[in-house]
This record gives sequence, C-alpha cells and structure tokens, in this order.
Amino acid sequence: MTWAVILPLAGALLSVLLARHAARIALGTVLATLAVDAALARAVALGGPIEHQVGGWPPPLGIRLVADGPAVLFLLLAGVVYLASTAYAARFFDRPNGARSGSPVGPGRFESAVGPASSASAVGRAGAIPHVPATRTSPRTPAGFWPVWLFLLAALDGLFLTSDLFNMYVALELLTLAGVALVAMTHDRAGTQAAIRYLLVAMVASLFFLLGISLLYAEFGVLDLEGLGEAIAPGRITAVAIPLVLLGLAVKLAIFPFHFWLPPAYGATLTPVCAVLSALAIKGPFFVLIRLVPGPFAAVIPPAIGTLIGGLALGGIVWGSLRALQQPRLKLLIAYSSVAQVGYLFLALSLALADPTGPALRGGIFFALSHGLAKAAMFLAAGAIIRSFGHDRIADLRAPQRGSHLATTALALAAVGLMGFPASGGFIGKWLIGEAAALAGRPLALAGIVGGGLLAALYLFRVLRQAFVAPDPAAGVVRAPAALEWPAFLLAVLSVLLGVASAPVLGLLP
Amino acid sequence: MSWNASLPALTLLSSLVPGLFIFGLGEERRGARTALNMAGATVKVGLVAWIARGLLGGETYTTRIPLGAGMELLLRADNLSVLFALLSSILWFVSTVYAIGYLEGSPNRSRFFGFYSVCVSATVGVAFAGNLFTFVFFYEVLALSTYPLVVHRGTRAALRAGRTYLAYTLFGSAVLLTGVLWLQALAGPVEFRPGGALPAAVLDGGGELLVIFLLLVAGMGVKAAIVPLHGWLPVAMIAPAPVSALLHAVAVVKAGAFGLVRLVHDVFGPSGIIEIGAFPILPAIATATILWGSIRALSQTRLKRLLAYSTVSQLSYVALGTSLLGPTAAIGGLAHLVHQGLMKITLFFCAGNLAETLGIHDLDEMDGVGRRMPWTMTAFTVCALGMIGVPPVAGFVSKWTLAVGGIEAGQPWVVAVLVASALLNAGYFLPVLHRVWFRPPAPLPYERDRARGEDVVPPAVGHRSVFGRRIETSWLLLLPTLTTAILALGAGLFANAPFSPLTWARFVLAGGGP
Repeated sequence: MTWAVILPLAGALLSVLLARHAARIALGTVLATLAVDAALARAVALGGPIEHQVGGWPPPLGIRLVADGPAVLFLLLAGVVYLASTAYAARFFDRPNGARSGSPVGPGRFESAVGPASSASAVGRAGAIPHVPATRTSPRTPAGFWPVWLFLLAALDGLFLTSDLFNMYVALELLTLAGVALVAMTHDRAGTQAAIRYLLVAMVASLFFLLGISLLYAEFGVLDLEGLGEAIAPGRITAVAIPLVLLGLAVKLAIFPFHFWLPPAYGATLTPVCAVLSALAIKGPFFVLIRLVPGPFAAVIPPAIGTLIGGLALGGIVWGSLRALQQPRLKLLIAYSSVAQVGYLFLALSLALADPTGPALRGGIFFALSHGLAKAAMFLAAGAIIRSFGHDRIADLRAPQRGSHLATTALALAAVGLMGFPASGGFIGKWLIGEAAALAGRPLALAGIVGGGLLAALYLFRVLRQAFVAPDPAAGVVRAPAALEWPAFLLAVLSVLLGVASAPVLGLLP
Repeated sequence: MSWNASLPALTLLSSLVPGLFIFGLGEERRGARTALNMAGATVKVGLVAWIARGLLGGETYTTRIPLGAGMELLLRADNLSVLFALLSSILWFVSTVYAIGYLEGSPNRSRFFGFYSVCVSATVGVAFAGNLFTFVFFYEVLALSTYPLVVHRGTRAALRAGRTYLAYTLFGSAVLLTGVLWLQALAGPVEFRPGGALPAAVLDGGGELLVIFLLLVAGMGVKAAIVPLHGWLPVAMIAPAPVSALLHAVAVVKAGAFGLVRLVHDVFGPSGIIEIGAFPILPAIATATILWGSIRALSQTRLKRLLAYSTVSQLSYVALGTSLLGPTAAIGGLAHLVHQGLMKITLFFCAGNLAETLGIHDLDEMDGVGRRMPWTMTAFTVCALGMIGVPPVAGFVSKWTLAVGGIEAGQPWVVAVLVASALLNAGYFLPVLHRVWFRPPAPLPYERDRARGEDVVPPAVGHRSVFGRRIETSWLLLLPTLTTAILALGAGLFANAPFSPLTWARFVLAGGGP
C-alpha cells in the first residue's frame, strides 16, 4: 500500500538526478503507480478494506493507513488521470531536438492566412515552414517540472490513504505547495500573479484547518479518525474547531464565494497542470471532507451547517454557470465550470448530512470521480485545440475538428459528462444526488441538481456548436499532435464508460 | 446471458456499433459507410421481426444490466415496444437509403450517419425501456444526439434552429427527470406494468401525484410537440429532409407520444389517472393541440413548415386515443402512431425530392409540379389524402377506430373534434393538391432566378436513367418514397391482416399474444 506513495516520491528523486530522461522516468513511475493502485483496488474489491500500520506501530502512537472503497477509487482516478496527463505533458513541452510541433492542415490553407486578420503571423514566414504564434509551438519544459509533477501525485496518494488528521494536513499542504509551484511555472505575469494569489489563499485556508485540528487534538487527544470518532463530543471547543476545519477545506475546494482564486489560476496555467489541478487537486480537500463529515464529525455537526453548505452549493452552481456563460475564452469557461461542479459535491455533502443512509454520499463520490475524468479530458482536449488554433477565443474556434478531430470528439464526450447526461458517469452521479434530494424532500436541492445540468448545457453548447459552423477560411489551423489528442480522447471515453459500467464502482462505495 | 435475454440489447447495438464505426470513417469512404449503414439497418429490422414473431409464440425477451442500487437498465420487448421498434427500424432502413441519395456529395456525411445511428439506437432504447430509469436514460440520449443532425448544415439559420431545439428538448428532459426522481422517491423504482405500476398507497398521495403526472406529461410533451411545447418542431424543419423524417416519423416525436402511452397505461394506469383526478387534462391538451396545429398549418407558405404543423396536430391523435382510457380509442391511437409515421415520412420524402430535384420549397412554387414529378406527387397525394382521413389510406382506419372508441368511452365529442380536424386538414392539403395537379406548370425557382439575370446553380440531384429510361429523380430518393407510400396504403387496405399495425395495436391492448 505504501508503494502508491513511495513510487512517485522515488520517481521525483530520480527525475532530479537524471534530468535528461525526466519525462520517461515520470511516465514509467506513473505506470507503475497505476499498477499498484489497480492491484490494491482488486484486493479491496475482493477482500474488503485493508489497514496498514506504518512501522508496525498501532495508533495512537503510530500512523494508520486505510485502503477502503473510496480510497482505492480515488487512487485509481489519480492514477488514470496522471497517466493521461503525463503522456500529454511529455509531448506538450518542446522536444530536446527542437522539432516543431504541428503541420499545417492542407497545403493551401496558409496562403489564405496572409490577410489583414493575421498579418502578425505573416511577419515571420520563412521558407516552407509557416510561422505559427507562440501558443502554437511547444513551450520549453520549465525547470523542475517533472519532480514537482510527481511530488503532487505522491501527496495525493498519501492523502487518499491516510486516516490521521495531522497526516491529512501534511498531505494537503504538500498538495497545495506542489500545485502552486506548477502554476508558477508559466513564466508570465498572469501566471505568477495567479500563483501568488493561489498560495496566499491556500495558506490561510491551511491555517484554519490546522487551527481546527489542533483544537480537536488539544481537546480529545487523538488524531486517528477512528479514535476521534469515538472520543469526539459536543462542546465549546468542538463548536469552534469544526467550522474552522470546514472553512479551511471549503476555501481550498473553491466553494462559492471562496472560488475567486481558482479561475485565474487555471486560466493562466499550462494545460497538463490545469488537467491535474482541476481533476485531482480539488478532489483532495473533498476527500478529506467525505472522510470527516459523514465520519467522526457526523454526530457533532449542527444542522445549520448542513443547510449553509447546501445554500453555498446552490450559489456555486448558479454563479459558476453564469460566469462560465460569459467567458470569451475556452480555458476560463472550463475553469468556471469547475466552480459550478464543486457545487454538486457540496450539495451531495449537505444531503448526506441530512440523511446519512441515503444515496447522497455515493452520488457525490461518483460524481467526483466522473467529474475528474471528464474535466481532465476537457482541459487536455482544449489544450490540443488551442495548439491547433493558436488561441482560445471561443468565438473564433470555428470547426475545431479540422485541426484536431479526436480532441473535438473528446471535448464533446467530456461535455456530456459535465452536463450529467447519459450514458456518462455524470448522469449516474446526478441521478444519485437527485434521488437523495427527492428522498430527503428537498425540492430546492433537486431543482439545483437538475437545473445545474441545464446551465452546464447552456455554457458548454457555446463551445460545441462551433464544431458545426463552417470553417473560417482565413484562420490558419495546424494539426494538433496525435500525442496530445489521444490522452484527451481516451479519458473522455472512460468518463462515458463509467456511466454504463458503474456497478463495480458503486459496489466499492458505502 | 441467454439468446433471448440478449436480443433486446443486440437490437440496440445493431445500430449503435455501426454508428460508432462510421464516426471513425474518413469522409471519402463512401462504400464502407454505406455497407455499415445498410448492414446495421438490415440486422435491426431482422432482429425486431424475430422478436415480434417470438412474442406471438409466447417467448419473453428481457435484458437486465444493473448499474447500481435502484438503477437498472432494463430492456424488455413487449407488444407495445415491438410496435414502436418495428416502425422505427423499418423507417430507419428506408430513410437511410433516402439519406444516402439525398446527401450524396455533401460534406460531413460520416458525422451525419454516425449521429443518425445513435439516434435510432436511442429510440430503440426508449421503445424497449422496461422501467422509468431506462426510459429517462435513452430519452436524454435521444435529446442530445439529435442536435448535431438539426444543425447539420451549419448555416446561421440551422444553428438558430438548433438553439431553439436544444432549449425545448433539454427543458423537457429536465422536467421529466425531476418528475421521475420525485415519483421514485414516493414509489421506489418503477417498472412498467400494463394497467399501472403504482401501488394504491402511492396513488392516494393526491395532489402531489397530480403535480408529478403533469411534470411527466410536460417532459414527454416537449418531444410529442403538444401545445404549447411544440414551438421547436416547425423551426427544426430547416434541417435536411432525412432529419425531418427522423424527427417526425422515425424517432423523436414518436418517442414523446410513445412515452405518453407508457405513462398512461403502464405507469399510472387508467384507474390511477382517474383516481388522481388527471383524467380531463390530457384529452383537453390533446384536443387543443389537434385543432391548433391544423389552424396554424392553414396559414403556412412553406411546404415543410406546413407538414411540421400537420405533425403537431396529427400526433396528438395518439395522445387523445390514449387519454380517453377506453380500449378501442387506445387501439386507434396506437395504430395512428404507426400510420402517421408512414404517411408523414412519405410527405417529407416528397418535400425533399422537390427541394433536391427542382429546388422547390414554397407552396406557390408547386404549381403543376405533378407533371414534372408524377411518381413523387402521386405518393404525396396518397398520403395527404390519408392525413385528411380519406379511405382506404391508413389514416382513415385509425381515425375511424378513434371515433368509435370515443363513443364507446362515453366521450362523443371526440367525433366532433375528428370531423373538425379532418375539415381543417382538407383545408390545407387540398389547395396544395389542386396546385400540383390542376395548375399550369410554373417556372422553377432557379429558372426564374436565371431569367432575372442572377447566377444560380441548379439543384444538385438531376434526372437519372434506369434501364435506359429517364426517371424524375435519383432512384435512391424515389424508391423509399414509393415504398413508404405503398406501406401507408397497405396498412389501410389490409387493416385486418395478421401483421397490420391495427392488428398489432389490438394485441397490445389485449395483452399477451393473439
């Protein structure tokens, strides 16, 4: 079990030592980690949850690692998304020999590109190789990218396996630091600003979380979740500590109205980083929430907090969707969509508090898994499309399939998942959460779930309709490299398959 | 999984798998695409026919795919689903032939045929759905997968129509989903059962049940184009003719009407409808739709728009027949589900032939066109008369049965509605027929434009020769048109034959075999 953490850490170290082969090392590491995850998932599916005491010390002295259904599912999600994103990133950055990415689509296309609309691109024309804008060429691999990239995976895997409050804090902190470092690797002003904002917000959130768990530890003397569940009792300290912990996690999860740091961070970031952050990094704090809220906190959370969470969730769904509807750029649209989708997760959480035996928690977890696959696929596909157009202005992305057929397909499939339409995993998640809302007699939550799907359709079809518009003859389009398209496509296909093969996944959930 | 248990799933896959392969084919692979399409369509018709034969022999066909607690994909062939599946798969076969001819040489054909197949697969899923979860599942797939077909041409007008279509259809899906989740919260997972699936304790819920019923009716009603949820249908006629055929006959509106039948007979049940006090609502909506659609059709100047409003009106015969809760009326409604499909697909094929061969879209360009395209216009005439209810075309049979059923159910006003509607139908179809056969031929639109000195290209599909004789249009367009017209005529002439739609509708209501 510890291999899921040790492998990426070792890979990170190795990629520092052998920097020339870092991309290959990363790919190998991620593959091996995924194999470990799969073996662990198989063992859990067959034999139930597995516990491991690090160093053989039992709690409260030692650290307990627990691989149960949700843990292995999130491990698998991380493994799969990482595999696709790593393969993608390996091609995304410039190759050592400086080969140019992309070839023009059709011989005659670039003749028409020399027009008033693209005079800038005509300036640098040299010989047979057409000049392409900066976004169309591969950026250099930022210094230290691969070690940090693998470090993030180690932090995630550690978070999913731990069963101890302080370890959760440490893993969350490492996750944040790695995430900030990756965002900062854009080398431009917007990226640096976004990274600093991300860092400050996440640090404040961490402080809240740390303060909360410190109070709990001072009061009850345990950090292990199982032990805390037995020891915890209502009281003044608990009444302060729990809101602090929840607030810290909510900010890290970018719940409305604490979402302001997320869209700029994603909008400015390199595409593979976007995919990993949106699909996995925000699932970290969510995972902590599903460990704590239906777990040790369940008995002591005042109902008002559940209602508050539900209200914020609805606010997030509506606000995130409305903002996504206004975004002129593809990456920002997808980023705001995350704000809306996080709303679903919180809605599920609030319903799970109201009715712990209902399907809400299963729905929330399933939705999180489906969202992880679909959102990563969408960012990767967007990256391929951006590479072929050289920009991400939605209005000008006409007939994107011309430059990247598979990526456009991936975008459409992922969109079905984010809207929560069948046969995608998003539909199953939406159905379960909706079922929970109906069972709990919460018409507002039901309307939020169903209406959220409609809103998602509204903003996503702004992009999808472009696939049916006649292509703009003046736009120079290069073909996106296949290595950028396939990872997006395969992830998108997985996000749809999750909807028709949901039985084994749901079988692993409580 | 045994052979019988896998048949419904195989029927669904018989169009889905070729469709997925077609997506991957290059644009120039015309032969492979056609082979995949026709193989899928043939296998599908064969499988549904096999299932129909088996049902008569008392076999059962049920596929169950569990997706999680309370979520089960249940595909089950019963008499009602086979009626719809058979209609849909036969018309898919015919309209695929037509679409191959129609779209010859136009761009994005792989995308078109891919989504066409997905739509038909979703329709079969709707037909075979054995519980509400499965129904919603495929209903939503259908809602999404038709969008690419509506906007296929990619013009500004097509995209605008697509937006309207999406707004209506996604709204319908959302309302349906809400209603179903709410209902299942009260009643648990609902599996369709003839006579009603809801236990008496749930039906006592009163007002809440009525609201749920209205939500479900609204959800289905968007696809079934009942007033005031019909606005998308006339707008969507901008799409190519094979898409109109799909919307009006093969899949979409039929799925809505079929859903209403399921809702009334297999979810709430006639007694349940009366118990929750919903009885007068559906007949009233259906009547209003029948009349309003026809009245709107009177003032149309474009042929396809006229046909679209005619669908709005005609489709509510199905709703009316179902909602009267009497067996004979329901038989009439179900038979009309098939009859209307056969007649309407013919009319849209004819409109497509006119548009592709002669460039005719407006009614006032149709003067004397019967002389240029006698075969097409004969098919048109047969089905237009059938829509009015002239014997012996199929439309007469279903309307007659409906009227008898109305009297039987103690609702004699139905006869008045039918007569009024027939008069209105005559009011908009007969002037067209008069133009076609009795007016002197007018110059074609492109000839007229040329005479004005504009540089226009004649329509794409020219006259073709078969056995050395010139025929009026491509045989790929003419053959499907004549086939469905003959089927519509046959369904009326041989209404009491063993496999006619009317006979099958009787099986559905009788339950079990013949």
